Amino acid sequence: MTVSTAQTPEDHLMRSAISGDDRAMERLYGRLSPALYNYLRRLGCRADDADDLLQSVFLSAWRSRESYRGTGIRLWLFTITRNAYFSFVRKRSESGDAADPVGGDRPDEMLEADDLGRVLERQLAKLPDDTREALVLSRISGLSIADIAGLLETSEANIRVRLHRGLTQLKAELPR
Amino acid sequence: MNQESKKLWRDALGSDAAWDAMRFEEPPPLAASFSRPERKTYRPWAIAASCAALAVSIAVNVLLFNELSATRSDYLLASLNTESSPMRLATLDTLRRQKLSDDMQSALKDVVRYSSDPNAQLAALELLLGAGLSSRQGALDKLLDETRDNAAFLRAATSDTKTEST
Repeated sequence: MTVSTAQTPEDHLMRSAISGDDRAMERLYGRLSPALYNYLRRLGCRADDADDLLQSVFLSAWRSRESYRGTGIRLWLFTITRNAYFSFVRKRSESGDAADPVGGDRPDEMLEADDLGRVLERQLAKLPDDTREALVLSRISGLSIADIAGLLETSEANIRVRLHRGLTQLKAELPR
Repeated sequence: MNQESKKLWRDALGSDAAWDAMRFEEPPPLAASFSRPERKTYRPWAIAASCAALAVSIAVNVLLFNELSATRSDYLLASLNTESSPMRLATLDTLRRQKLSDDMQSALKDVVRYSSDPNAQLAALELLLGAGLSSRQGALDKLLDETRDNAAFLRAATSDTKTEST
C-alpha cells in the first residue's frame, strides 16, 4: 500500500502551524473543515454533533501537532476525525443513545441540493456502512484510493471493490 | 480532487452527473472557524512566586546570618573574657582574620586594660593597632594610661625591665 506524500497547500499550512504560526491552524480549518464536516455527516452524525466533533478534531490536531510526521495532513485529519467519530458512537451506545442516521428522517438543516443530489443522499444512506464510507471518502476527502485504503486499514483492491459495489447499487436506484 | 475516484464514478454511472450532484458542500453550521485554545501561560505567576520565594529566602538567610554573627560575636567576646589564656589567645588569633566591630574593639581594650596575661594584652593591642587605633588622636595614649593601672601589666613590665636591666 502506498501513501501519497505530495506536499499540498494544507501540508504547508500544517508545517507553518508546527513552526509556530498561530494563524495557520485556523486557515487549515477553513480549508479542510467542510470536507471533514460532510464526512462526519455522511457517517451518520447530527449537525451539532458533527460540529462539536470537528472542533475536538482540530483541537486534538492542534495539541498533537508536534507529533505530525508529514505523511499528508488530509489523511492525518481524516484519521483523527474517523477515530473521533467511532469513539463518539461508542460512548453514545454505552450511554444508551444512538447517533441519528443521515438517511430516512433527514435533518431539516441539511443543505438542500438539487433533485439528483437528494436522491443520491437517500440512496447513499441505504448502503452498508463500509461501502457508504468508501464512496463518501472518494468524493469529498480528496484522498487517493491508496490513502483511503490506509485510512480504513484495508487494501486498495478492497476499496475499489467497495466503490464498485456501492456505485452499482447507486446506479440501480438512480432515475434513468 | 482525486481523478482516479472521479473516473471510477464516471465509469460506473456513465457520466459525471452524480459526481457533480454530490458536491457535499454543507458548511459547518455552528462553528465558523477554529478557535485555538488559549495558551495557559503561568510565566508571570511563576516569576512572581519565584521572586517572592527568593525574597523570603534572602530575608530568612539575612536573619539567620545576623543571628549567627551575633552569636559568634557573643562567643568571641566571651572567649576574650575567659580565664583560660589559651582560649583567649586562640580567639585573638581568630580575630586577626576579620573586621572588628565596635563591641569587639571595646572588649579588646578591656583585655589590654585588665587581663593578667601579657601575651593576651599584647595580642589585643596588636589587633587594635591593626584596626586603626593608633591613627585616632590620643586613643592609644589613653588606652596605655588606663593599662598602667593593671597590676599584672605593671608586674610584667617591671619584670621585663628587670630582665632587661640584668
